[in-house]
Amino acid sequence: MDDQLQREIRRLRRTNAVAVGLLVIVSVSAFVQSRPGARTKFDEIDVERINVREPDGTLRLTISNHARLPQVVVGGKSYPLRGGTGVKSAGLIFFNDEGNENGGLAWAGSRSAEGYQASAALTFDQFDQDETISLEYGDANRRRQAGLAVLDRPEEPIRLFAESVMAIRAMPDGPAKETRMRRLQQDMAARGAVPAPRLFAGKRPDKSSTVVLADRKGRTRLQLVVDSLGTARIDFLDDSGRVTRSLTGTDIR
Amino acid sequence: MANLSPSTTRRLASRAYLVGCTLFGVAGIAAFTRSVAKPRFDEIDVERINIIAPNGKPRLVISNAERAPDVIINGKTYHRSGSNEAGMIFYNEEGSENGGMGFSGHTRNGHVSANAGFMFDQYGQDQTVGLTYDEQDGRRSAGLRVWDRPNQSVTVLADLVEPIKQMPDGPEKTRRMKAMRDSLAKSGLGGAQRVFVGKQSDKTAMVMLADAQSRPRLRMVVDSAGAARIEFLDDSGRVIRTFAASDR
Repeated sequence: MDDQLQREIRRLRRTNAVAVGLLVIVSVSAFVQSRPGARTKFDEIDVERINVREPDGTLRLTISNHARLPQVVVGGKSYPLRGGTGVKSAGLIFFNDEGNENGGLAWAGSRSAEGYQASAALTFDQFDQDETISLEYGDANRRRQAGLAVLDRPEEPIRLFAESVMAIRAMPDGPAKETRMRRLQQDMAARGAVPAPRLFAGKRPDKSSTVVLADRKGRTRLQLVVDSLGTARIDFLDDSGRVTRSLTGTDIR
Repeated sequence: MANLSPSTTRRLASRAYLVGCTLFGVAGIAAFTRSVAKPRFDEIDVERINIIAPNGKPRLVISNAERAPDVIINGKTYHRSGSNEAGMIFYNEEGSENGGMGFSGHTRNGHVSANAGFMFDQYGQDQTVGLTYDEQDGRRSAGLRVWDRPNQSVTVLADLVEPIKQMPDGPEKTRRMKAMRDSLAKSGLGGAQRVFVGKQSDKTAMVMLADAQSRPRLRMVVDSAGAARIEFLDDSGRVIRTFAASDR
């Protein structure tokens, strides 16, 4: 092997080593860029979804458009149960320290051939259950409700309901499927696994403004109402929904 | 290597070089691509975040006051009543503002001014339900509010008010603005507050229900001295009946 060739090979090796070294640095720095320690600063970013996680990866909050809304996570399992109503909500979903969904802030509104539909809610869930307090607005073609609602939720975990619904969804469409769905609802009602609204302060679709207090079965027992014509009254109701006493601005004591 | 011809050695060396370059090139691109698709940060500092739909329309803006967006409804931009605040602005699928959360507070020339609000808007309109806090030098109100809004689009009102908002500050602007507010209240275009649950700046705790013309008709009050009462009011604001603890 002549000297010239050996020099050429040495030069090649050196060039190779330098090039490879540079590539290693560039590649590693690309991974390191997103490593702990550094705080990254932006003036403005466009993003479809942000996940806020604990150091161990547990999801605590998502902020997203509708397309990237996370699935419902209850009892440590994901269920594709969101958005069955066709409403294209975007917003925030909250998760507890076990990574299960425990509330959210979401909004939607759009016009279609049938008119318009709009809704918005900030909700906090009962542990392992559905919403227990909610600031909400719902509107379908001028039938509007808005206010604060507080609900009792069943003692059993909502995971049981999610599992049942998934099993029924897997069935072929037909009368058997409908019967199963009906029976699920009946069974839940029979064991008291249904929500009970306890308080509402707001306005109703009948254009009244109202404060309603209900008993543990969700039956209205006391209500303050100013109706669409401006007439005010306070009603006491029995457990069958009958008004047993009513106070107005004009009764004689 | 002594057994290989010089040309073979050269070929091998250049092949090794090519393979090495390709591998690291791929790794490098993969690293950058991965970080573009779903980068991970421990913490970010940012002046504004836009959460956008796949079609690019905004669904949420989180920002400081400086970069907070003006009102956007049906593709048209309007000035906000009051100034833009730090917080969040929500948008519906059509890209129109439909709520938000804003907060501010400062001491200027010895005077405290603070407020915070969380609002959902009626479709095509202004706020219909919200949580509010407002303070001026220790006079504080806070609570839940519910409003009626007219069926017309808020752009009808915004188009009326916008030219006044663009006038230079002064007595003429103040006069025009007050006249506008009075006419809006009369026409119902300004909406009506129907419910208040909270505390008011006179230190009463209160539940108030109003009629469709924004007139309080039923009130539960515990006043600053601790006296409790329920009041029915007529449409002129006169208390026509009161229940108190002393009644039999």
